[in-house]
Amino acid sequence: MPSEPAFVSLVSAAASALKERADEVNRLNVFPVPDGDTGTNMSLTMDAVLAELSELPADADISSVCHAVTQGSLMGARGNSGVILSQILRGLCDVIATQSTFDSALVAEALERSATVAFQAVRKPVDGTMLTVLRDASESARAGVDAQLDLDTLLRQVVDAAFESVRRTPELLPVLKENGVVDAGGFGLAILAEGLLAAYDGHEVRDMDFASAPADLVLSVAPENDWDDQEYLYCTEFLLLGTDLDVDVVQEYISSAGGSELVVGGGDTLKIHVHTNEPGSVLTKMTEFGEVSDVHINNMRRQTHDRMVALQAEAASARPAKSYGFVTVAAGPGLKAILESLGADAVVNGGQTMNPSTAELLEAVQSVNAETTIILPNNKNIVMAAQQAADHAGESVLVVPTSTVPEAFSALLAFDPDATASDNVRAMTEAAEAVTTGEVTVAIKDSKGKVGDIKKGQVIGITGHEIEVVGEDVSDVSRKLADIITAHADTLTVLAGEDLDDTALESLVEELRADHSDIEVDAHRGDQPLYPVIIAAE
Amino acid sequence: MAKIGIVCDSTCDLGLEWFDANNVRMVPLKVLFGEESYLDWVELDPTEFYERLKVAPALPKTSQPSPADFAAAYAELADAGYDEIVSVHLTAPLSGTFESATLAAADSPIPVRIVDTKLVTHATGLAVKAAVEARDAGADAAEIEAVATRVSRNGRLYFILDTLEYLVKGGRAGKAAGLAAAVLSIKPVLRFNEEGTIEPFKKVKGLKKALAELAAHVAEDSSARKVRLVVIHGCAPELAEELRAALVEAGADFEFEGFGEIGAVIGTYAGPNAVGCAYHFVE
Repeated sequence: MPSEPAFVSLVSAAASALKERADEVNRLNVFPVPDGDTGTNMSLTMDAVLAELSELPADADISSVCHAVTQGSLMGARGNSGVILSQILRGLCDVIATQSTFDSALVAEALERSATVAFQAVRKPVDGTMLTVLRDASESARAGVDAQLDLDTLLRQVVDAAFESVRRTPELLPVLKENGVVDAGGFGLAILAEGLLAAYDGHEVRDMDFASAPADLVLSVAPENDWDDQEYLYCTEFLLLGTDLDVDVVQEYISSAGGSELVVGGGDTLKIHVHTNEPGSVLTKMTEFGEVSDVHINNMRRQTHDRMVALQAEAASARPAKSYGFVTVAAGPGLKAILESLGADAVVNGGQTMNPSTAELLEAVQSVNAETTIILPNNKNIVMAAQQAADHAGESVLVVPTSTVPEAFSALLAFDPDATASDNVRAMTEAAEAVTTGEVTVAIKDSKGKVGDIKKGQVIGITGHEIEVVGEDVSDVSRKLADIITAHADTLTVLAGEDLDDTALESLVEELRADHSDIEVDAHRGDQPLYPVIIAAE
Repeated sequence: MAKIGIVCDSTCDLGLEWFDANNVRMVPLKVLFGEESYLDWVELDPTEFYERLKVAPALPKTSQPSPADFAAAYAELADAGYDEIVSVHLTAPLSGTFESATLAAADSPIPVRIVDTKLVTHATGLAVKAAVEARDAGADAAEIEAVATRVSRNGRLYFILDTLEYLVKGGRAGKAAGLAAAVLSIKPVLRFNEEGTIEPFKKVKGLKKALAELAAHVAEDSSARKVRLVVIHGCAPELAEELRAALVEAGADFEFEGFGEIGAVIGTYAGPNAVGCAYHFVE
């Protein structure tokens, strides 16, 4: 049994290991509530334990220490993870307080009790959380006792089992997999265990990185996240064989040659690990000390890249068909961005002067990979191509015959993922019909309209496929058009085309707000070609 | 007759005076502005909270009561001679408060019945009020629990937020999270669903449309069954008046319980200028 002050320092080491990585744990936090505070909460809970321990007299016995841990964690528990952690500690302390020998059997029994207490505390235990990690660690300890492992080996095995378990959490809890993370609380728990073990063994805390890609986690002595600084390109590992190798001299050179250096072993065999830009020089230098063997050199940038590519490919092929997808048509990066933000999966480039073909629409439908795809053509001249695409594709493709982009905005807003396809088409079509759109552009030829003669180059305002306003100035025409279309509206959306700069947009919005004080004016950059201003009233 | 104590947490937003006047033991959650921690309602009222929110460099965080906080409240009532407790709380999926209460209840010297209202703010408040009315009418603990549960299940909470930022950054947006990505300024009407999480009800452009949609829905709900309703707001009395007017205009038929302010903890997620309706169907 470690002496009591030593026991206290183990707890303190565990707490500081967690505190060190609290932000990383926070970033993983997507379950049960993705509020990014698991690491902070667990760490604050450990702070409370330390505060309680600091109140103890120097000669406090183990049962007082256990009581302080239990009490401190319960009183200071923060958040769900903190509360569960307090129960885990309580279970451990229940057993440790009553024993006088710290051995493998005690570890197994304490973990079993801990799992029992922690599971009891949670109303509906969920797999793939810190509870799972605890249970796996506990089972590993029991197996270690059965295999008659000594205490040191058993502790290492338990901590490794905890990290292995953390790594499996995305397989058990879908929300973790969807977010590409491991369970934050489970990771926090494994960090605590690792911190405790490191202090017990007197080595550095192993640095296991779960932040980006759980699938690639490797448990080894080498730090796994040291590509972060990207300072060195080559991970270089080898054995150095010789007689009476001077570890300090080797260590000193290795430290000067790169980062993340590790020189372990002794006597006639050293294991060396270093990140460097000059693996050749390192190896050459080493031959001065002895023979070099078992060399592994990896290009970390390529490894990282390959891993990313592999993960992305895996993610794409594993992506199941969504139930609904939306294909729509627009020109202008701003309009596309707005449509995508409202749920459009594919925006085919096109519009008044550039009608996409049926084939282009079909291709977009296929790229979406949805059980039901709804096409919003956003132009009278494209409705037919959309309808043909739908007829060709069969029942799984439907059309909401929008004739302008703002109609698609409202149609997408009316979509209800829980409603049937036909109900959605009805609701979306209704929502589109409630929108009145006005488009401002420049006449490309002389013509006659219901407002009289129009000369090429004049600014015209169109609504309902009729030219309603003719003038010389984009702003004036926009305002007159707004007067017409806002008769029964309470919101006006303004979309600035690529030919209208921000200053002009700002003053137009000010004028529109002054003209219609009872209407909410919402302006965005659509950056559409040909139409300096599109307005839509609802 | 058995003496029944009623416990709730601060997020039912009924306010300190109400708790005192109605002999309800309230256990506060906490709001944290950086390092500074405040007890909801006790140390920070809604007006102060929203003033602070305007100038806070970072969004505040919240923290549930610890099991020990509930244990203290339960023990206090036991010492005061109560025989049983009914403890009524905000939705469990969005807060660990329910878990803390459950943990504390296991070790309580007197039996505790815990109700997850699956709602927040004054919608939970309506369940607390119903529990108090049942207690004052001489109901036993099981009956009080049943009443609070029934009012919760018959409870509705619809609301409109000025911005989804607080809800999304606070991790409580649920199915409404996707809306925050929308580039257009959408004013969605949100609601609590049967699971006790948030989902979008209607997505519309503009506050007026949102208010009208909400009012129309309450009118529809109240056409068949009688409702008891609180108009809630986050330091936005004018908006609350506007919503009440919209309800009347839409022909909603309700027993008006008054205007209710949203407290600091719920306000941390609702943000400023939130407005909505908390109501329940009266049997």
